[in-house]
Amino acid sequence: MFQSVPLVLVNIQVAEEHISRATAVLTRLRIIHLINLVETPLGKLGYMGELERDMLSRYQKVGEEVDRWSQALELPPQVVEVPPDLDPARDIYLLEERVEQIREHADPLLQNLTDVKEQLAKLKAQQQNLEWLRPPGIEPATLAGLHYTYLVPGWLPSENLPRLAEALDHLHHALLPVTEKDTRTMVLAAGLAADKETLDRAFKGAFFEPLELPTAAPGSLEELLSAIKTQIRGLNETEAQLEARRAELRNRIGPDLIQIRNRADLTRTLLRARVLFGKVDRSYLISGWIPAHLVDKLKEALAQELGDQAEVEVLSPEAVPGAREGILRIPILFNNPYLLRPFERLTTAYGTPRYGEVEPTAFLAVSFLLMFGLMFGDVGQGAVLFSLGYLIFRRFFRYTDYGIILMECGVASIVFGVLYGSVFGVDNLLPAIWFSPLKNINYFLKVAIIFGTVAISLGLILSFINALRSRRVQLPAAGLLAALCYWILAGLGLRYLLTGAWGWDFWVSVGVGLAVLAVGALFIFQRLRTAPPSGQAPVAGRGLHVLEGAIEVLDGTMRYVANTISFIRIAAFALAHAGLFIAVFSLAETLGRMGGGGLVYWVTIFLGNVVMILLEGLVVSIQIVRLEYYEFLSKFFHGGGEPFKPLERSAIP
Amino acid sequence: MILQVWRYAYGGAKIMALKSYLLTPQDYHFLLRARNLEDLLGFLRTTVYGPVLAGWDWRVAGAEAELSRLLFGDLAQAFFKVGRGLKQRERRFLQVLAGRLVAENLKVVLRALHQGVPPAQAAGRLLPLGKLTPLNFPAMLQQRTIPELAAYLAPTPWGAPLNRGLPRFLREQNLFPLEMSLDLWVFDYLWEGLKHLSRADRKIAGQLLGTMADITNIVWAGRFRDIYGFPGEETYQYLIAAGSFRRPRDRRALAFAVSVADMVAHLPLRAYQVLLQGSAQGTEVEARLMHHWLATLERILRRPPFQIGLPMTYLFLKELELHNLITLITGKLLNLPAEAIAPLLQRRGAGG
Repeated sequence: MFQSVPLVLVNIQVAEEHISRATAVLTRLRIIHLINLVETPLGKLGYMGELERDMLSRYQKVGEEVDRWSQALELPPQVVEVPPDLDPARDIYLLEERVEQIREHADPLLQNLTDVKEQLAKLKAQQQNLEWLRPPGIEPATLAGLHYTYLVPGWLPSENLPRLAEALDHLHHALLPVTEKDTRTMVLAAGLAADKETLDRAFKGAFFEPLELPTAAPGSLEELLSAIKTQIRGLNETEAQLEARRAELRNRIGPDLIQIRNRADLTRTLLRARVLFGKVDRSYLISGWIPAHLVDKLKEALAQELGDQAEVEVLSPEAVPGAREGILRIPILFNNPYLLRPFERLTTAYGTPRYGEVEPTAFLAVSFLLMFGLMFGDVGQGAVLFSLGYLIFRRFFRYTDYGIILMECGVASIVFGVLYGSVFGVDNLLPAIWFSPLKNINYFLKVAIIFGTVAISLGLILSFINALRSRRVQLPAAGLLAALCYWILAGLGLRYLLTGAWGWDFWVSVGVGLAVLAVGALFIFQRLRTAPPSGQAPVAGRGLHVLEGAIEVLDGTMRYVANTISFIRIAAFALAHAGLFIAVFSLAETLGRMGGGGLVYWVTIFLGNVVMILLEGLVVSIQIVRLEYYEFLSKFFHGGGEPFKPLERSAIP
Repeated sequence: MILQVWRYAYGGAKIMALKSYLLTPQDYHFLLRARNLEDLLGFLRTTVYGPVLAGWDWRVAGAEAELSRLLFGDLAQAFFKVGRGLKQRERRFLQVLAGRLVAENLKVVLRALHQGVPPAQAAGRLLPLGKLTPLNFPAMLQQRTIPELAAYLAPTPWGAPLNRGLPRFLREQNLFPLEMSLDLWVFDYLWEGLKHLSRADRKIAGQLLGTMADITNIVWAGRFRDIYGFPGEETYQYLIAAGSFRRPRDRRALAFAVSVADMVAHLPLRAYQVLLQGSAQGTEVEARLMHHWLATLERILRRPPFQIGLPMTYLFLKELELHNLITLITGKLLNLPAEAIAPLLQRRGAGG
């Protein structure tokens, strides 16, 4: 929980003919974070990955064609299990042949259906256009038979009508608006046949759309309309038959299409993953990090699929030269219980921990909930938060993490509400098991300071643990001395806060002595454990060194003290929370007395609580995140790590 | 009050600081004197464009498209930087002004769909506009046809101009009506955007946009007549009713002019007649108009700093500078001598 999942480096060596199956196994298991071998010393030794562009584009083409059919047949995307017997070089022939067979059946039918739909749309548009000609009583045959006059009905954007008239000012013309629809006007445009070309250019410029009419067909308007209606009826019947055939085709080839799509996707992932592999002659080397406890599972799966054709080498991070020197970054895989997992977002928002560094999510989660409870302690509002979180958890799957966080915050709020004896701000319903914030302001300030001291001390201790874990970093003497001074000051301060005593006595001497001993021992232990740094401080500058160190100690101590005082905001916001309750009750009472009566009173109470939950809940959360990031995490957390990204079907686009 | 003064002072000072990063005449001198492209890029690395062009390799395929992308990405950043120092309503107007860049990206999408360019390839030609627009250009490139794109954009303000040009596009299979419709709509959009501004700012911004509309009208009318051979009746439809061409008769005179001399003689403003007097060809007209545009921008720059003209001018100058850089780099790529490139640059009298 306080450390990421221990990882080991595995090198898998397989012959070229087995690489596809090996990759398929890794893709299915989703436990390996690949290393790009080209970027490691092995890359310089000639292990080079390769991108088979031609093959990739063939698979892509298959995928695109299948997508086109799936869309036309209204098949939703579906992920299905694909057997690991992938062989990209051979499979492509199989897939292309199957695609060709499907094309023979699907394309003519789908094209036919599209044509019918287009024809139908065209006829319906013509029918509509003819209907437009009814009110002015224009016969299409008359329009086609004009010799000296050019008469054309059509639509144009209404704002272009005056502009068109202005442009044709010098020509004989008439623009007769017939009707308007939305932002367009239907116009009957007339001019001399001799000016047809000029008129057409002007119409084009005005975005005039001539009505598409069946001019070739003889007959009156009514006869044309009747003929079109007959054609539409016939096409509707054809469309229905084609739709039935399309449904039958979907049932017949649907499962095939899904299988082909998934196979093509997996193979493309596999081909792209190969770029990260190393290759020499006919042998591939796959290198990556996997959780140590899954090594056996990997070996078993490879043995099952490839027999003894895969050579697996397992190396601990300490045995990998690049990782030891910090050149090769080891990814980090979080290892938190289900209820703490949502708080990983809080950690990663600050930075990704480095491998081997203390993983702070658990500390963040616990301190977040404690501080939230302290600042927002109320049984009623906690219950509302919990319900809200539960609703999100059950209904909005994309936001499950936020639902869990809200539920946990709700529980924290309820627990502290019980301790404070507060239910929606009413403090006489429950007895205060611990204390009531507004009645014990000084006490609350002390609690906040103690909380801050614990948090800062924990941060310092975690920073020492991080330094002890790393053989490359030495504990700075100034940092240790600053921590020592801080603890002495914090001890004295706490003693004063709790007992009121200020003097130096036997127990203070014992406490200070123990702190000095602990820090001294820590310093010596770490110095003995790590190699001395390459650049020793010059002897001549020792005085300056001591002065610098003294300033650092003073600065560090002051900073830690200031950080501790910053935790007073816990009490401040808790008091603000209690104060807001008083304000809401006062407002409700005043409004109730002003004539609204009980209804206004309860509406005000309700709205006041809603505002408090939304606004104050947000403010409190922001303050907690601020305390976590600036006062706590900054003490020990370095970040700069890389998240563990397992090879999976969609991992490499 | 103090806060307002501070905001104004901050916004103005920020733009003046940004303006000081524009290339100086001396910079242009050295850029023109560069022996080859390597030399030119070496000098550019010492300017504000160093980080912008870092990693740009002129030897690879598609380098020119990538260059435009990088440079105009810098312009988008300039919009953000300038906007941060301005009030909400001025910032909104700048966003409207960025509509011209959005229209350019839409044209890239239209061309890609029309020519069947693969989305990944076309995406490389899009200007990186970031948050300047909420439009999702990669998603647009995924549309299969232009009618599908028009349907996709229908809920946005850009749907109307596309749908206006769509029937004509379907008949002619030519992008001109769509692009023209977009351009005309952008001008309407800019004019609408003036409403966001205070009365004083509206006047200044209106002057600038009016000059821009005048130049656009004169340039377009010339090109439609001399290059495309459009009749006056069609050209008239494409002219912008703004600036000094608000009256129909002035637009008619421009659209129906039979030659450059005829056009100059009938221009509505005496200043334009003087400016273009004696121009024999369209290219000369365009060059003189560009100088006039630069002079207008300079005039706005000399006004008191607390006005919308300042950020607008800076952004227009930045845009001209980017066009200059593209001209310079393309010229060096083609091994053109400095004397051939220099006249193509739109430079201010005194930069910095």
